[in-house]
Amino acid sequence: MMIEFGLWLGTPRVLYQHLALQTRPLSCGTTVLMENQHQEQRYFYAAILQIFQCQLSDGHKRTIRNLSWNPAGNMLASASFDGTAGVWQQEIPEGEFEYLAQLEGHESEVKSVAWSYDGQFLATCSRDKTIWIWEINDENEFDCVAVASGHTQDVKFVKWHPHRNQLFSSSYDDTIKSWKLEESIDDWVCSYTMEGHESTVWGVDFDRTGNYMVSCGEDKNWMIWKISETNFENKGMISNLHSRSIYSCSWAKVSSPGSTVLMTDLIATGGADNKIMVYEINCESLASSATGSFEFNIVAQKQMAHQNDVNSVTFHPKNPLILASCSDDGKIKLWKVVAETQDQQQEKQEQDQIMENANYNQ
Amino acid sequence: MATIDGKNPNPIIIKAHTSVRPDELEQVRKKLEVAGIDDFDFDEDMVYDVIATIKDPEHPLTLEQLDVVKPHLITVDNENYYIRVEFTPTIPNCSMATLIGLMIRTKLNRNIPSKYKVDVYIEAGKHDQQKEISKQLNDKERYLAALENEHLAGIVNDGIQDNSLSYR
Repeated sequence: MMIEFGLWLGTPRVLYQHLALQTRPLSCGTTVLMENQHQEQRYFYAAILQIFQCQLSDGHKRTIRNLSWNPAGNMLASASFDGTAGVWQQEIPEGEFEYLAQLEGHESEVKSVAWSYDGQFLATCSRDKTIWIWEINDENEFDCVAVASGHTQDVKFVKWHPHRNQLFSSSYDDTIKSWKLEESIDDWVCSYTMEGHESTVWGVDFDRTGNYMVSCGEDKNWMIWKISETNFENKGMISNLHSRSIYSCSWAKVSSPGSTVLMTDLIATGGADNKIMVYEINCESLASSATGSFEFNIVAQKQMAHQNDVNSVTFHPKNPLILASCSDDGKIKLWKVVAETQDQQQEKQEQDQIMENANYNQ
Repeated sequence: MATIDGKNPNPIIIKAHTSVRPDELEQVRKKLEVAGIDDFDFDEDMVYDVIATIKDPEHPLTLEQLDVVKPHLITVDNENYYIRVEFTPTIPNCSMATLIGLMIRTKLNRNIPSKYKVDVYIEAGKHDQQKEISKQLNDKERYLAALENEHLAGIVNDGIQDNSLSYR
């Protein structure tokens, strides 16, 4: 079950900018979520509000399609339809985000941007079919170190491996590609191409070990892959759980407590059917099973999670039971995944509350 | 009938009619004023009314007059709030097919309650690049980016200006 516990409303002016959402790494880690939800919400929203304020004054000229935090959480990169990527920096905690750099070079809309796990590299991708890899130096300057070509159509999404400098890109050409630095020629090359989706691949994410990847796409399917630096294996495709395109998938980065299976991970998907699904993956089945099959349960499904397309879902970086989503309805929502009984309890509490209020009114 | 430049100098023109159910147009408009558009269920005829008056980018004619849109190629599913529109380019290498699709999608997005999901396709076998163009039209990101292009947005807006048969 999922309970909505946080909501942020956009103004019409920033409606289309809710295409992207990424949770900020919470470096302080002191916030206890269940005890202080309001503070937690503030962390989620603070940067979003600030980036919009920056955007309105001196940032991008067109829609911001995607955002990415650096690992330290003090820099935010943005990808825009205006053909540029931007980097915003917060010099002191809780301070203003200032426009640090504009990354120019792509020929058309920049679709996605991603920081590497060590914060050393930034990748951008575009409708111009290329991926640009930027390196940040000590003076906070960005140099383009590679232009990676290989996709035959728009590159929709980029994401770095969680533990090593290996980049994954997904595309309108229905494939996912893995990229790595080839030291001998000092250039970034495609290490392998993953085929399996039947249409555009909209997003990918990794489990905490970095041994597995989830992908989702226009074909309404999501898939799990076993990945290494040099090879990959298709662990299975899940169909028929979304009735329209799946735009986003997220893999919780910590094992969830109190789940029904001994070792599980949570995956969430959201898409054009306005729906959010949360699945519990049996990791043992993933490790042991043959190609093309793994075990999972549906933990939660919210049919009308939003009034319109769900563009992005992302788990909280430290608490796997907290999920954020954003939509074309202009809303950002926070969700809590709860066990059935707890939910029933809450329902009862709410009913009691209503009764209490009713009595009070009398 | 395909031409080298993807243009059709002599399209077949069918006789235009005003509305599938002209007597209901005013009635529906009044009801909408009271109920609000989002509570209203559309049917195939009403969807047809919305897109029939779109102007072709090449000719001073509507999509209805050129037989590019047809009532029987529209599906409305009011259980799942889903609308599917297929359209028929006048020639199989029509260079304007993508633009026409953009216009149909945009006019529907602006005139149909947002609870409906809309897909726009080229009728099977009616264009050399039927699959490619249909994929492009239904890629939300490409669609939104195209409309942020001022030149394209201008042409689309010119083509869908006439709201005489629309319900809002």
